[in-house]
Amino acid sequence: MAVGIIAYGTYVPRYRIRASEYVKALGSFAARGISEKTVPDFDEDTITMAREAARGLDLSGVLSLALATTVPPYDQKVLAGTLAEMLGLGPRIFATEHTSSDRCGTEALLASSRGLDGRGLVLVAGAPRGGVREETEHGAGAGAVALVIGEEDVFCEIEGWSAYVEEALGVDFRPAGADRRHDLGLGTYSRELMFHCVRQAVSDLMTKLGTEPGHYAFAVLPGGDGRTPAALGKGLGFEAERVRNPVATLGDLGPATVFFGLAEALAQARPGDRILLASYGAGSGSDAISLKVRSERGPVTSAVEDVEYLDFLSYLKMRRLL
Amino acid sequence: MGAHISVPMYQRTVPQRYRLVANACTQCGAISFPPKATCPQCSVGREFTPVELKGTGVVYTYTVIAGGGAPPEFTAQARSRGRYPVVMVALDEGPKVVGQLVDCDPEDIRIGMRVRAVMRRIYVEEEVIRYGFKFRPA
Repeated sequence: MAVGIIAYGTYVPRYRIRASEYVKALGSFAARGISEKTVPDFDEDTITMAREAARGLDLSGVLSLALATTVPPYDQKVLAGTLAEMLGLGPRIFATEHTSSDRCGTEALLASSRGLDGRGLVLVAGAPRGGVREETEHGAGAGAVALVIGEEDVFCEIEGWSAYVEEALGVDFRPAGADRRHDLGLGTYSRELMFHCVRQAVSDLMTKLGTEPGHYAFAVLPGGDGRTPAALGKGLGFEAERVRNPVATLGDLGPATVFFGLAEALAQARPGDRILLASYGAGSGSDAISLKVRSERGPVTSAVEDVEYLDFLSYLKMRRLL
Repeated sequence: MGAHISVPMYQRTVPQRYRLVANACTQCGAISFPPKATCPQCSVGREFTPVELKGTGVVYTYTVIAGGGAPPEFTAQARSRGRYPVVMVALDEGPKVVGQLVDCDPEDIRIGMRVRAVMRRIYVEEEVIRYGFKFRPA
């Protein structure tokens, strides 16, 4: 029996900042196509958000836990132990941690779904990092997604997947011990590496399954700004209307971005629909996953509904940048 | 002056801070939180069954910490927001617990308002992140 999604939950912090606040304060906002983004409160991190994403989900029968984040609160420590305790799982569960690039979310999903025993919980969380003078910080939002996967009671199955990795230097990397991301600012070079990598993973997947772009109701595509996903879609044969990526209103959520796109697609999908999910990690790697919606979706939880907008000064204070 | 809680002491309270694990007295059935050695209700029960509280309840009373009133482990937080509310919550299962209230302006707090527990960082000391529950409007 194919492994698939049984239930899912999402969490975004209550706070938001609009791009216009950056423009007012700094004169410009570097993240193209992002109109506003989510802001984690002073006391939130990827662990607390991952825990909140799973709130309300039925975790009975869960025997594995996979955590994916590029921004772990500790560089060295079993982080899954913290989450297992918070969620009342285990302690006799198999826990894995996936980090180091924005591809880590699909990596966690695929690693969990292979050789799955019972049900698995996949937690994918992203949060900003870096100083406000760095352009890579401007688009950074925060949020987390929780997926319960298994072989039974599945409403959306993993039909197939394909993975692609290669060496790619100098693009969106964080040196050892550093607190901020570097990008050598080689726009066209970075973009070509990304498009190449994702295109390979997606075309390998479609060749493997004998599918073509027309078979997919939705394409969830990576991209940390508001324009890349649509441009990527265009090159792959998906018009903008079918592309899902919530970066324009939530900000760049790191590995969680495509999972918020998946949540959006699942909310709109009908039984029988196919969804293409592709991730990208700079450096480089891409996983492409073909999902098929079998029935009306399972339980969905969305933790926080209310929103409060911050001015730039409050934002700096909340992010501990002032 | 803050009340320093050593890492081993915090470690022992992890189930109650992460999951609101309370004690149900096997003698009288009363639920106590935080768990105590003797049942505070019947004063004789010394054996308990652990129960996980839902974390939902109402604001029983509250205060707002401001103007340098925060203990040292919370000064960074006080500096970030200027002030922060602390509530006493009457949990649906009975016990009253104290915790911070997040996602809510102090002006909007009302006695009796519904709240639910959420996971947050309480503070960081000795480079160890102390996670635990806070409350937010339900």
